[in-house]
Amino acid sequence: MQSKPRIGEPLYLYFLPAIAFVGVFLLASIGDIIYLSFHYFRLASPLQENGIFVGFQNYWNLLTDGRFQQSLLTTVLFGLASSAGTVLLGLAVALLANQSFKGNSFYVAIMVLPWAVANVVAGRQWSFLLQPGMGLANYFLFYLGIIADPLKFSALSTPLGAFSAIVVATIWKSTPFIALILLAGLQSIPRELYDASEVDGAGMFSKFRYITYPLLTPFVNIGLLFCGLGAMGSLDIVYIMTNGGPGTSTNIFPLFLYKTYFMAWDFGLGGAASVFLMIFTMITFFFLVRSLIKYVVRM
Amino acid sequence: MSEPKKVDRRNFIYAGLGAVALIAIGAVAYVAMNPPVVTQTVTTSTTVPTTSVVTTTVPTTSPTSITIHQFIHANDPARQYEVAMPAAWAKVNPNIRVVPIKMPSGYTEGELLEVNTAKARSPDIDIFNIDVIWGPLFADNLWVEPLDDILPPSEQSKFIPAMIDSMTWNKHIWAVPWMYDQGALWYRKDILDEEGIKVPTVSEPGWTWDEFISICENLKEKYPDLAPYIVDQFKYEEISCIWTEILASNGGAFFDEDGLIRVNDSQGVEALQKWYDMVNKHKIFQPGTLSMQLDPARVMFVDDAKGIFHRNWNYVWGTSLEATSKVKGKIWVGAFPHFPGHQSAHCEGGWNWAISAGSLHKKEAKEYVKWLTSYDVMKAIMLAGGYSQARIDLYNDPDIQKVWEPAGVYYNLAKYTVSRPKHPLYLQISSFIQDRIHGCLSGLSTPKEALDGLADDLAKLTGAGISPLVKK
Repeated sequence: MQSKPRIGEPLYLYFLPAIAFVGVFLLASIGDIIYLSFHYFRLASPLQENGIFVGFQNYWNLLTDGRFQQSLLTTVLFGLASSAGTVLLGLAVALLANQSFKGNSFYVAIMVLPWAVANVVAGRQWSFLLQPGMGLANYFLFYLGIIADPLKFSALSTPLGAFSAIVVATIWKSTPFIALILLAGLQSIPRELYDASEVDGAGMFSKFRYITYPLLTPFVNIGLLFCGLGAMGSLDIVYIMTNGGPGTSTNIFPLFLYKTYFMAWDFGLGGAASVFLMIFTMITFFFLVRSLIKYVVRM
Repeated sequence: MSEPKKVDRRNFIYAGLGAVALIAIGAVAYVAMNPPVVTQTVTTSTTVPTTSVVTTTVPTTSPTSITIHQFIHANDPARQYEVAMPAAWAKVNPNIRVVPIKMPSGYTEGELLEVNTAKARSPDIDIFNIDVIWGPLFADNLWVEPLDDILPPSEQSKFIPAMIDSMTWNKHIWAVPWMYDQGALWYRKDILDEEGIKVPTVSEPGWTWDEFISICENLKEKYPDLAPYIVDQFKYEEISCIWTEILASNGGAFFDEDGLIRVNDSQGVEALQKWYDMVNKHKIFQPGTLSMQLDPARVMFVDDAKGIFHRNWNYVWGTSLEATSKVKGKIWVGAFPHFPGHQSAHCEGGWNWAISAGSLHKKEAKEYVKWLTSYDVMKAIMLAGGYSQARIDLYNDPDIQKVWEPAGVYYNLAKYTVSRPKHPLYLQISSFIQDRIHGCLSGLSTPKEALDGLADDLAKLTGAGISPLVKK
């Protein structure tokens, strides 16, 4: 039998583990990063040079860094392209999964497979697929008439090709998760609405336009939210496939951050970049979440 | 509005006592894991003759039993540093026990672990295992001890010159080289013999890059199914290695003798233009060279037999003898081409033993390192199938040459090895090199633009000025 809390029992004690967890692993980390962002701190420098207060110097260095500016632009483009692609493909996959047909369960099981693959493995796999000669993707592109010679074409060796490749790989990896969200959304739409519309003579497109689309929009927005967050934190696939190359053409912001921390060991600049990313993400998603809430309230 | 609940005094006291108990347990655990340091007096004794598999002598020993800890590679194929050498040393000097500590297999993780340990001057590790590119970082921060006493100039001359150079900083030597590697020009001997083409070693005049390109273009026509030159040119550390070689093969360098930046001088621009032309104009590399990494390139050359020349490190020879190889007995190694009037340059790679500044047993650690890097021990390691070692005369040793067939060529090439830029912030420098050079090879900038950009990057990072060798 579950006992009721006694009057006067300090209930807040029950929250302590959660508060401690958030405090240690989130707030303290954020506080540490903010602290670092205002100090000089390089792992490769002598101890006595570290910890000197430098004001906004790290932020100034960051904002005037050409690689940072370029990585920000690349990240925005990467985020837009991969989010749009993932949601569109996820919607198509979810619409199919929502139909009744023989083998539906098998289809759903297959559908989620890319999600189960580790990002590093996915990156390596896509690199192999795109290798000239042995890469299957090249033959696919050849039969579609997109490239002339599958033995010589190397998508990852050109800026546009490499950017497209990381977008495609990210879409492939993220689609199952978004498709599941959208499938949940599709299954929450009352069947009666479709039945009634059929009585009124609505066709497939009309049903999608007037029933599915408006009722699924909150789920699409959630999907976009997750995709955008994923793009902001996407590192492994891009690191494996291009390491930001050719040149700096796929040097997305998380890669810039990784190199600042783990190649330059510049924790001051890395802290400033992290704070920037945090604020940038919060502002971006504030508007997205606000529009989502407004939409839900309106419904 | 409801009133705030009062805190129950008894529970409050219990919570406080619990917190105090937790802190006490933590403190006890910390003390248990970090026992107080006991200062030991070490006295010297006489030379100890050895009866182990390795015949050598040790100058001093400690009567008190001491344990020293040594970082080693995670995957030593012959388990020399994990098992054989500590055991052999125990026979030589039972009073100094060596405990190998495996580094993480991931390069970045291993480096961070060593840097953090060194920066903290932790006494937990006595002997660091440092990459050739980490020397200035560890030396400049005084994280390691100078080793001029166990490696004086007379002894340094017995090691691969570039390895000594990479561990020399502020006129001191900071680590003893042990594992040696070098970039080299591997090739299909069977095909080139048939064509009557003899690949030079550096002791001969050697090929110029133009001659090499011409040979590759002719071979491309004759062997359309084979890539003339297989090179991994993915954007990563190898780009820095290859650029170091091509730049040096034209007499260029990153910095001049005064430490000023000269990477964008006329020799640098000419060198990068040649590399760019090889990729984009002459197309002598395999398709996808700019996105291919080291081992897929080696597989293409060794297991698929799809190339004629191949830039890689010494490990290619061993893999060519494995069951999966299609080129067993068909490959050999030679010198890289160079620009007219200059000589071949081969990027060095490898690892070195350094003594931690935080070590409590520096003297004993030095003794062990001195023994470990003695000629006889290094030879024993190589003969046992361990890593290739850094003493240059080993490659001229008939016993070694019986086991390591290309050792004679390595001996020639080793004299012409070059170091990557020596700087405490090398990793950042390498990142800049990769951005700029790979960008140029991919057509994002001209060689001049790329090198001017790289010079700006280096100037901002290091504070160094531009050399007068760079004509505006």
